[in-house]
Amino acid sequence: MVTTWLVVGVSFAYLGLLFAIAFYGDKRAEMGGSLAANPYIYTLSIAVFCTSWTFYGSVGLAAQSGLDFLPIYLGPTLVFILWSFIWIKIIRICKVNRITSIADFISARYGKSTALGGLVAIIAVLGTMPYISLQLKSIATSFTLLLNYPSVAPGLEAGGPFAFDTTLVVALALAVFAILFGTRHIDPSEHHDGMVAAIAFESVVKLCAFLAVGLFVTYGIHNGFTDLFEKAAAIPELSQNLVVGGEGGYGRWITMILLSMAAIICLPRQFHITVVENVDESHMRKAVWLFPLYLLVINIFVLPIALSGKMLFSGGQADADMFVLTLPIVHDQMALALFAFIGGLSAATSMVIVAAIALSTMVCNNLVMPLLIHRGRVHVREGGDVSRLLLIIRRTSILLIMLLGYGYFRIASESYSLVTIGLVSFAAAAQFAPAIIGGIFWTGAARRGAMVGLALGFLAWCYTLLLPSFAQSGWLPISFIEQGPWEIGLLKPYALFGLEGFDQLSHALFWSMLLNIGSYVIISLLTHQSPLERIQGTLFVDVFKHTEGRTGSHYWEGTVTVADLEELVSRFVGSARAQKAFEEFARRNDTVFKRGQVADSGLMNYAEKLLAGAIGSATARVMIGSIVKGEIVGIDEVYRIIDETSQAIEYSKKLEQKSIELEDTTRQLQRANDRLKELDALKDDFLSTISHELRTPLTSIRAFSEILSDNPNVPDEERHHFLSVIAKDSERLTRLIDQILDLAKMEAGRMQWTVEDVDPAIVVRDTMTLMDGLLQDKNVDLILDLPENLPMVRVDRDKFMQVLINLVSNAVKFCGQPEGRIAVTLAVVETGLQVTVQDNGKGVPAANRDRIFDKFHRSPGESNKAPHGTGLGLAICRQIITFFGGRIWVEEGDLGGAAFSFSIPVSRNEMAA
Amino acid sequence: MKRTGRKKEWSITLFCFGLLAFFPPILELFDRPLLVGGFPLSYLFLFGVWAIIILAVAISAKKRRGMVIPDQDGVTAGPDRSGES
Repeated sequence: MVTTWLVVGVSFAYLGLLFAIAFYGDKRAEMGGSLAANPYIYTLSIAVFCTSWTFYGSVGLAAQSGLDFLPIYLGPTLVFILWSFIWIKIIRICKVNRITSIADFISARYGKSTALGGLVAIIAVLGTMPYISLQLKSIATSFTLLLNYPSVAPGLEAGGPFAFDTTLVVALALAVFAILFGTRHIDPSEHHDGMVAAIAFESVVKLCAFLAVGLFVTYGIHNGFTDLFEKAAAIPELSQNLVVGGEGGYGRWITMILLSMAAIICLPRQFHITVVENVDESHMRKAVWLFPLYLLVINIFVLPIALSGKMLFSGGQADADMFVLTLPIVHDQMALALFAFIGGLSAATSMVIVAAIALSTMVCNNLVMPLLIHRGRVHVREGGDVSRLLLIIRRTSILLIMLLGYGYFRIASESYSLVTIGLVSFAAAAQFAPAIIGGIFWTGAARRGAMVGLALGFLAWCYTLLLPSFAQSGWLPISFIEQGPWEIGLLKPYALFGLEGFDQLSHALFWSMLLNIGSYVIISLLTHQSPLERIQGTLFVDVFKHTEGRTGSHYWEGTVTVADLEELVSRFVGSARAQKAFEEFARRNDTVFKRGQVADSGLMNYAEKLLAGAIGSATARVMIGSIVKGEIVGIDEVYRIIDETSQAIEYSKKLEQKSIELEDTTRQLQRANDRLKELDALKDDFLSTISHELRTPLTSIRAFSEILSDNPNVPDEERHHFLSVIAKDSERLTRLIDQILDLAKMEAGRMQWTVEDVDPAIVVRDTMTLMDGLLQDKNVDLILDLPENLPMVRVDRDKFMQVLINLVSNAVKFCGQPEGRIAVTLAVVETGLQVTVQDNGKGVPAANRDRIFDKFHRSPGESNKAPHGTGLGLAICRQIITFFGGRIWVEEGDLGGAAFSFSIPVSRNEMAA
Repeated sequence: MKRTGRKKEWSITLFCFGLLAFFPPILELFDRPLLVGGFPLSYLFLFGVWAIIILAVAISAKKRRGMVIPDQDGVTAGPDRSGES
């Protein structure tokens, strides 16, 4: 017999030890030596999966139906095989987006929807309620049993006056523990080092306690496994306990594997410990096999203890759920029994603490805060420290959650075994699975789909599992189960729509999952996602792609100053932390923020994530949105951001276009450059030629004038000759300079023109009269073809005459010797009046015909011969004709030599006439 | 991602192996009320397969050269760097 005070004393000493460990863990973390940053501590904390259900309930189930207790541990093992697909992805998503709970995860995934987050929080709280009550029940039962055995056994009255007090006291003590270490301050990262350390310690305690009882039963009471199993096999009614299938078939087995696979991901406390409290992704590498190993080890002795208990209490006079405790007591091992009790206590407390913290975060961030903000109770723009308010909400919700669990324990837990109660919770948590798993692999999953799926699945769960549990405890009439509500047989909660032949759990899971997954998929396919949903969907599904390169989502646009942002954040996480976080951000980005400076999108995203850690991502978005002046980016722009592919295509098209333009420009540039080079060469030629042209007459003038001045006695005849040469060369020089000046004037556009209507026939005749002397001198025949009635042309008379003189004198120079012939022809053509001057010389080679109009152009063959003219005549002709709006060219003529032609437009008056 | 594709395929294969072994009809083959070496056959089978899976996962999760899980900088408690561009 153990005294009450001993048990109570040991229990509270144990809780005290937990406080001490958690306190030490928090202190260590503050000094930078985090205990939780260790893969083994991490693994042990994940073992919070093993609760009283495992510690007491598994044995009870094994005693009832053999190996049926195992699926709950095989499912998680299967999920952990796929760790790199599921866990790493979820952890990465949560770290990148600062997600701190399942509600936050689902709400963030589906477009940061506040409503969805609230729904998830409600489901999580109601779904966890039976689970917490299971823990409280096991503590109460084991406490009573330890004190009163055998007087109370087998008919355990969990509702005895003392048990009542104990359970409530335990519930309150656990609430205090959770409040102290789960809500000491608002930490944006939601890491609770001390709590994690305490949970890991509890995992060690429960494992040791269970193994101690198992070893005692197997080797103390019996002679090892073989002996125990052989004894059991000899008893016909125990043969059921050695197999899986048995009477019930495999339906329940399969259901439980599937259910536990969903539960290991979706239970709020598992999500919290595995994902939120994860410090380093690489810790997962150890946990991924150590955690299943922990499960395997803690389950080895379940069957032996159950068989041993069944053999001892063959009349069924003991509660199979408590075999772990009763077997040592019966064999008078009170110390072991006390140890087993502490093990059970540790299993229960760890679950309750983590669940309470995880749920309070959800209730606060996704339920209460959005409501307060919506109702206008929390004014973002006004000052005031909201972080205190957050803490109060969380602490209150922990207390309420604990009381809710206690309430369910008082109402509904008495008539159920531990495992049955736990499975109700599993089925509720499993409702999150489609939204979570679909959310990280299917970009197209839409908010409405998740919303309707969750709601319908949850309703089905309520109807087929939760309400019947109330009915069986007498809170609803039992006819609700047996005849259905209002005696409608089709609505019987355990045989909905006449579906019979399943066990209750499989039945509930079938209907809830059918509705949940069905509406999730179909509504997702039917609805259009909002831009934000699409962004979030891509961020979640392609999280590795996004985190490899740049991170985050830069879609805030608008203006808010750094000071405003910091003030907002500090009101939720405390000013010291906010200041530290902002300084950290500035340091990382190598910048200094001025308070009045407009925050860039990077800082805004950072602030949003800091807030998301404290109040949930949906609310954080609203908060930031409320202080950002200007709009959240419009739909078009967001689409453009998401559609990186189309953007890239657009970009490459532009690039292509640019490159074509560039190529074109290059070609033009090259042409221009060639032309420039040519011109440069021409200019050099021009300068050298012009100096040569000027020097030749100058030299002869100087030479002759020197002779004349040095020799006064030069005979008159010679003197006359010399003077005439000087006069001729001076004339030539003058002509040359005149022409150069003319050309320069024309090129610069400064030439004075006197344009008027001129009769070309008169001009040609006048010119020919002028040229008559030259023609006579050279003995050249002129053929003049002047038709009647030539139209007037609008030209400068003198310049027109100059062109004719140039061309004719050229023709005279180059015409055949000794019988030179020249033909001047006028004709009216389509482009106006065409004048042709041809000779019977050797003509112009085709290659030179274009360049002959350039300044100082000489045909290659005649460069060494003395120049006949200035070399500027044809260039001047071209300038003049071009000015008149005409064209000049050279071709092979009828007389065998060159034929220079030009055409000039006819006067407009003439055309009108 | 720097993970090699084959490793993922192995883990899916292992997952399928687990599903096959833990579900009927394979499970039914070993689910008989027999004692093998003093242990129930079902018990031996389930714990045996379970142990094999854990061993295989342990081997596959071992960090090998050139098989790095994409590491995110600043994973630890400090603020993450998602704001950087």
